[in-house]
Amino acid sequence: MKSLAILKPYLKGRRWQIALALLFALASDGCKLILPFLAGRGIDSIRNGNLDIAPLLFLMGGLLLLGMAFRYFFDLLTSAIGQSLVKSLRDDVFARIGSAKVSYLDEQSHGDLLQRLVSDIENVQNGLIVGALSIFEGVVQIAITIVLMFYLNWLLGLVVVLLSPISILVSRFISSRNSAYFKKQSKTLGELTSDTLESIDNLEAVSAYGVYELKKEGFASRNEEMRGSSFKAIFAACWINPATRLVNNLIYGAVVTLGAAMLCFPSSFSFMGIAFTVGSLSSFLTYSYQYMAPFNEVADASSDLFYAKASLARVKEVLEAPLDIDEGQLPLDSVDSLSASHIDFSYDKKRKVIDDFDLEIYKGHKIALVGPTGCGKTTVINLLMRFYDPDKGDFLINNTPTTSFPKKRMREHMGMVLQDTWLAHGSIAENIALGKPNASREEIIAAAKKAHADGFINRMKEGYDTVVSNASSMSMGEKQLLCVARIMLCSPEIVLLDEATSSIDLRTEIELSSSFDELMKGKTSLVVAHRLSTIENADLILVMKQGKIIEMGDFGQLLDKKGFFYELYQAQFA
Amino acid sequence: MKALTPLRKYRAKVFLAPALKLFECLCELAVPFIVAAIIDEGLTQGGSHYHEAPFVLGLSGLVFAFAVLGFGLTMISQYLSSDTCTRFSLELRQGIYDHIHSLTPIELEEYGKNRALTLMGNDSFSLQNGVQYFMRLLVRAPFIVLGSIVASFVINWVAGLIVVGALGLSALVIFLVIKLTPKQYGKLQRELDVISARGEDAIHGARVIRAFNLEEKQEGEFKQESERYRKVALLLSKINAAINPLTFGLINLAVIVILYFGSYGRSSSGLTTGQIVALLSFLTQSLNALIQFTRLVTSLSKALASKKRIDAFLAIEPSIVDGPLLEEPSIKEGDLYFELRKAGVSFGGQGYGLLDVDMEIHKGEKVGIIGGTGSGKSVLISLLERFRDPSVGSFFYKGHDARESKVSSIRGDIAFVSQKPQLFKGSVADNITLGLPLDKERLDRALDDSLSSEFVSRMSNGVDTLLEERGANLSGGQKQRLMIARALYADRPVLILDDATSALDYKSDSLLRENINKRPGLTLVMVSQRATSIKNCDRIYVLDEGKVVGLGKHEELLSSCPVYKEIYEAQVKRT
Repeated sequence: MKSLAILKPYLKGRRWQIALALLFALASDGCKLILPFLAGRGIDSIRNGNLDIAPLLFLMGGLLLLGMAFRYFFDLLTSAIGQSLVKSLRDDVFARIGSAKVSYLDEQSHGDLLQRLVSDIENVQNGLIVGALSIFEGVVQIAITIVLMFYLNWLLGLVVVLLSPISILVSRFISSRNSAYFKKQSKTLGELTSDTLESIDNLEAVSAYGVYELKKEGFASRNEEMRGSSFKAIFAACWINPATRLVNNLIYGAVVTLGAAMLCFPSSFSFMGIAFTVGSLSSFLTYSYQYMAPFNEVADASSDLFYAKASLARVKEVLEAPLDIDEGQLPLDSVDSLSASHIDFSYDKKRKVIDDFDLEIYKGHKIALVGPTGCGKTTVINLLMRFYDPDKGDFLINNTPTTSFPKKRMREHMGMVLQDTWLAHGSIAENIALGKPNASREEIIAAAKKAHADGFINRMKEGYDTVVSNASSMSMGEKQLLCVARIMLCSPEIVLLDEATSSIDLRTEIELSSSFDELMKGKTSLVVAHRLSTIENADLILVMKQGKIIEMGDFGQLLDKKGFFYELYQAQFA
Repeated sequence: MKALTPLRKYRAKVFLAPALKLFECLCELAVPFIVAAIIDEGLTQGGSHYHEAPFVLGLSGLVFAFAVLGFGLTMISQYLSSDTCTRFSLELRQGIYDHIHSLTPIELEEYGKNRALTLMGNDSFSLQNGVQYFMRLLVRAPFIVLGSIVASFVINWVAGLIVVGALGLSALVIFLVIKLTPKQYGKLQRELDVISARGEDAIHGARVIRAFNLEEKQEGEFKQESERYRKVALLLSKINAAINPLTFGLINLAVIVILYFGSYGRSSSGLTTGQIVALLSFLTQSLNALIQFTRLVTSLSKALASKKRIDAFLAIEPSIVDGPLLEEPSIKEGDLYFELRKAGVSFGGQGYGLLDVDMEIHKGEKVGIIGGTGSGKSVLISLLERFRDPSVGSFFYKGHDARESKVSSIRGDIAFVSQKPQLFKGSVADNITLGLPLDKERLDRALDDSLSSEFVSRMSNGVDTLLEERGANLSGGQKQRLMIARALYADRPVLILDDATSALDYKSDSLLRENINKRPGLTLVMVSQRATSIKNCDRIYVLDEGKVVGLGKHEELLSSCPVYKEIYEAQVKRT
């Protein structure tokens, strides 16, 4: 029950709707259940030779209409409540993903995370709203039926009520074992999905190296595992319906036997104050049938409920994902100075990726980071953008640690292009305007021209309106040009380029450089370069190796030093 | 294969399970007759017939017997259906998995990677449920309803007509809803795809979204999308919610009519009270069955929609298939290995991605391909790797049309390193050997030659270190080096590097090339944007806007090909 507490705030504003739904359930069940009682009265009338039962039939007709109306609105409200829960849960899970620590997202399996947003929430609705309300409705039906049965004949009523818990016990017993099976099934499905995702994402390598042969065994065994856990979950759930039906059929038999006995030997039962009629027996039999149905319903719903609880736990994990800490409060109007003070950082808290990174950046300067692959260049960008925070030391803006500013305020002043390009689902134009959503088409095209992307965009099927996504089959270079166009459009105060042009050919890159020069004019920029040619005009070049700055200076100074930078430089001509 | 093909094997079980259900239904339908007999035969007017007691109690005993028999039959049927549906979905998932692998990356991309993923999860799951429901639940309702109708006619033909009328109309209501909803379910699914796409953006694009402060905008748009989904879902339930009250109303209307018929029309109908009680029982039974049935409708129409999607996916014919050739001719150093003649590739839109390309690659040759972004280099490679066939012109492999060969013969010759690093779950070693037997010496050499040893040895468990999904714990350059290590370990006669060193610094790049060139007899196809990377190749193809604009050695091209000269000078002059 504790795990359900998370739903409380979502249902708070819907109290009256829930109350109304409960009320409708009550009213519709009342109308529905009084009908067999009245039918029994009718049968008695007929049996007694009193054939004029028109008023009774009209009463039944009226109740019938009311029952129908209430039932319809109950179902409608149930779904309304359920779907708004789905919506608000999805909104919150989405928002949590958007505000979670970047490190959290880096660590999660992306396919699995997506499944929580999409299907797990659906399960929660299905089990905990639709399921729970139908459980309530079922219980109401059972209660009203019991009252009416006792009114008709307390002895028979007692028999039914005393025996019916067996049915509940049976279904409880079965369900209690199901939860584990469903959890297992859910987990295995997640693994299968992520197996498939891996193949889909890597299909080039899979095809080129015949990886299918390698992976198919693993898939087959996981698939078999899925079959096993799925079978257990399904077959276990399968017991609930027939078992409750068996119990109820046996109760039905008891009612027939005892009822007939009472009609056969009325004198033997008269001392108990029982008068019984054929009509009452008929009503009783109908109740026995209907008595069965809600138990089945409750049983069905409870299996959904167990599934839902497993899903809710998964959703809850996302909702409790570590938040990106954003404790900064200070306003930030402009960035006048930027520096780094003795920063240490490690991803795994074991191996230092950045070691005593210390730096003073003058406003308007172009700073370049070079060094062998894996020396920590990208990490510097991660830290400066505050996707990760240093273990020790700080970046300082205007001599104040960046942690003192809200991330949003700080990032407003920065623009970055990463080596790992990412395109959002949407049109090319939307993708370029990501940083300036209200940009006009002219501005977008102008930015694309600056980024030398206009040409290939026009060659695409629908030009700037072509819908793309990260999975689109554009080349890395084209994707990078689009990302460059983004930054050309929003023209940020501080420009961060992390090997932003690594997949763009040299000719284009040279043509691009004038656009970049224009963009960076008077701006502070930090460029992780993979081609030394692009940083010849840098004001300061930092040479990094294994997380440490080992050389520093401008292009000429570094060459004269004949150190590590010189080696890197020479390698280009090898 | 179609979605339901795997079921064929279980045909007997698929029909046995419902047949058992039939017997269970007969057990249920017998009960009202027993009750009618008790009321009409066992109890006469006024009640007290002491000598009828054994008759009455004997009949009551039958009710118990049928209950137990029915339970036994059902459980056998449940076992069969659970077993069959899970075995079915096992094969279905395998089929989907296999089909994914029979497509080329290009075809899969066209279909949509996300959609393919949904097939494996939601769709196969909902179809599994559909099969299960079909086997154990779907038949129950029609059996009970038809049985009740027959039984009512046995009692009295007018009563039979009333029951037919009520049940027929109820069935019509259900039918209408089944007719009306699939379109809405389709719409709902599309809205779900939108939500899924947005969610994926939020996860994959976390850094960019944050950098541009788009969190709120994304959240706002997502809210609109989730609202649209909510509205469609609500509309659907407005239709679905009508089933229950309408069927309930019709059945109870029939109860009222039967009572009317039994009272005001008693002289003509001759219905006994026992018969009326039995008729009411049949109606109640049928109503319960119908309600169960309506709940099924939702799951089944979901299953049907899933079936259609799976069918559509499985129906995609892989465009690249094996040819008849069993044995490839052996070729020796210097022989023509790959050849493109007047090859062109069109994407279906205007213009060509590749046009009129003539290309020869000889065994043992080092071939360079250079050109700007979008010049068609990767399209050219996709032809060699047979990820696609040329739309015009032809591709020859070892002297014959490549389509005559088995796909695996061609691909098996080539160690391919794609632009995009592609890593799998598992250890570094697993990622390099990719299923080949582990040979420590060979592995070390591959790691050394690809310059991976340096960072792999620094990893916590060396080559046994587990990589995170998509190699999240590696830098771009490290990923590329591992990809090259993988290609070198595969030790195939041809090595294709498709701009595979873009994330490496120049020094590493040139060291790497040195190491690769040391491998004897290797046919090398190197795609690059750096002229320095390919300048030592035996032959260099220069691509521009999908066409070959230059061919020759470095020195020749410098004088004959302006595009090449420009690229080279750009690189050298600037540095």
